[in-house]
Amino acid sequence: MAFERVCSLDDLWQGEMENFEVSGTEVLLIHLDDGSIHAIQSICPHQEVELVNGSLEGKVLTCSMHLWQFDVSSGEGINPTHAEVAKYPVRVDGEDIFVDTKGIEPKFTLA
Amino acid sequence: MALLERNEWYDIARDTNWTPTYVSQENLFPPTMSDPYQIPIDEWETFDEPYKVSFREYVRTQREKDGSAYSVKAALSRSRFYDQACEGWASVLKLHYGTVALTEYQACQFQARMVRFGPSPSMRNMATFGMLDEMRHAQLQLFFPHELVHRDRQYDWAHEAAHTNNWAVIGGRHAMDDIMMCRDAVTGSLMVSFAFETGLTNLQMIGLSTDAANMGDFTFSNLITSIQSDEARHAQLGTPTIEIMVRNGYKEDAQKILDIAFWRVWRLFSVSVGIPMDYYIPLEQRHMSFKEFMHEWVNRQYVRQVEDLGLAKPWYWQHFLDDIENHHHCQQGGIWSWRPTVWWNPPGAVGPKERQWLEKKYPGWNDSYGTYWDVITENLLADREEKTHPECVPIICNMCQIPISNRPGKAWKARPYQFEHEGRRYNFCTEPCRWIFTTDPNRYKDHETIVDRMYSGEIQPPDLDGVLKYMGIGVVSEGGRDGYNYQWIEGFRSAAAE
Repeated sequence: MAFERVCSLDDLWQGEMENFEVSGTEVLLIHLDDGSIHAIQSICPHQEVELVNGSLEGKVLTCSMHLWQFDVSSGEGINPTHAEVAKYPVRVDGEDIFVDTKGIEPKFTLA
Repeated sequence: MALLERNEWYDIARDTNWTPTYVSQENLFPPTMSDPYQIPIDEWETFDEPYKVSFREYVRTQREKDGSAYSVKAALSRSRFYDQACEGWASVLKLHYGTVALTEYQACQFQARMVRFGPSPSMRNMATFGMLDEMRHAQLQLFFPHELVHRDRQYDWAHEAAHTNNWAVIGGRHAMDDIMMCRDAVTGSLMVSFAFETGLTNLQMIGLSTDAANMGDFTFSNLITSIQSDEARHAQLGTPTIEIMVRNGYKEDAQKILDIAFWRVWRLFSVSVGIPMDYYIPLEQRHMSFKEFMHEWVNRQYVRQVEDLGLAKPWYWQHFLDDIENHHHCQQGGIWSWRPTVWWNPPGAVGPKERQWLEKKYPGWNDSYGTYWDVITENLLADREEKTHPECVPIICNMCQIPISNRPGKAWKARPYQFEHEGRRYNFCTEPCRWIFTTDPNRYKDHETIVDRMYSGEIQPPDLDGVLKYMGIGVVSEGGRDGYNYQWIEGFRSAAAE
């Protein structure tokens, strides 16, 4: 395991998402309203557009470009269902958020 | 009564198919309009587009998108943006609207052919949304430039270009007739939905919207984003069709179809996207070079997608990589030199700083394309503007309809690729354009280029004025001039003075 400190809880409020570079990998860090924190690949598996420009409602992230939707808690596609975003393990230790990107590659999907 | 969730009824509603009893299947779906491969109907019924939408959802989302695009336009219409926008950016807009607006209506007709003749019920369902999408795109891109017509008559080409025989329009029409208007539903879905939309234009829209935002043109940026957001649905008409063809033994046909379409669209794409990115957009606002854009976005994604489908990249990949280095630089020189023939004011815009940038992005530019601009710059500095207008007639490619040219300078790679067929000699710009002709000579043999039309007597009188009028110049609006009134040479004058 290679957890790396990314930021503190103060840097990412509930309902917010932001891109971070973790060990050379772009990661989208998302703090959901339910308090859980998720790290997923920063680009859409469709045409590699930055997901951070999309909109977040509950745990559903909608890409700004073609409205593809993902459940950020599981990484699974909602529409289309055959798509999927890579998830990176997250650990919260006190006020600090840690992410491990080792051995995980972004996913791409045909459409 | 509670509504069912989409996934509880979607498949059965979408897959509902005809069982003809009064007419034969072949009469209902003639192979020449529908599926020339005659793949069995139960194979077509496996067609599954991944991104799903119900009509109710479609209408709600589209209404929101339209509301947003029109309100941004209304809110910004009082800004002075278009009064102050430089002619380089205006050229991007005029070129875009003139070549795209009514092509969207053609795309609407193409989608309508899939709605009627698509062999799969899911394909017909998805094409229905595609047809409505394209209609929306045409209407938006006619309406937005309309308010600019009173400022500048050249914006009228948004509506008029497709009705003229301007040389640039003939090129676009030849390609769109080939891949979109005159193909069966199956072939067309590969050519348009996959090679054209997924392969090239979807990605171009992402770049164009970024460029517009960098320029401060938020109306246009928002318009392009709004249009682009529709593409996830109808661009996916290609992939399931390719999968079904490959599974049923038509892999080689699918490969050939994609290779023809990708090259046809590339030749136009490079002119309409490459020139704006590397010449029209002012240096300070360029976010990447066209070559970087092609390598970072288009090439990698296209190769990944065709390989995922079990196909290969086009046989002409090396020619294509070479064309990325050359084609749009050639055409910037050509379009600028023949500027009275186009409906925008192309900026030469190759001052000292721009040339430094071009040399950095395209090593060797100064020794090749630079030599062409050296002569022009020298003439302009010596007040010999008239010498910057060529008096010769170019040779036009009998496939892409674009003047035949290639790298100038020491390399001097310009030459026609020829083919004799039924006593007529055809000239092509490149090996792939010639190859496309040989795949179906009967399809292409009767077409005449703009220059053929001068020699055949169709254009009368066959002189510059006659040709300009034939092309709509002076009829729809005045033709082009240098967008910056030659201001870009001033850097050389001051350098010489020092």
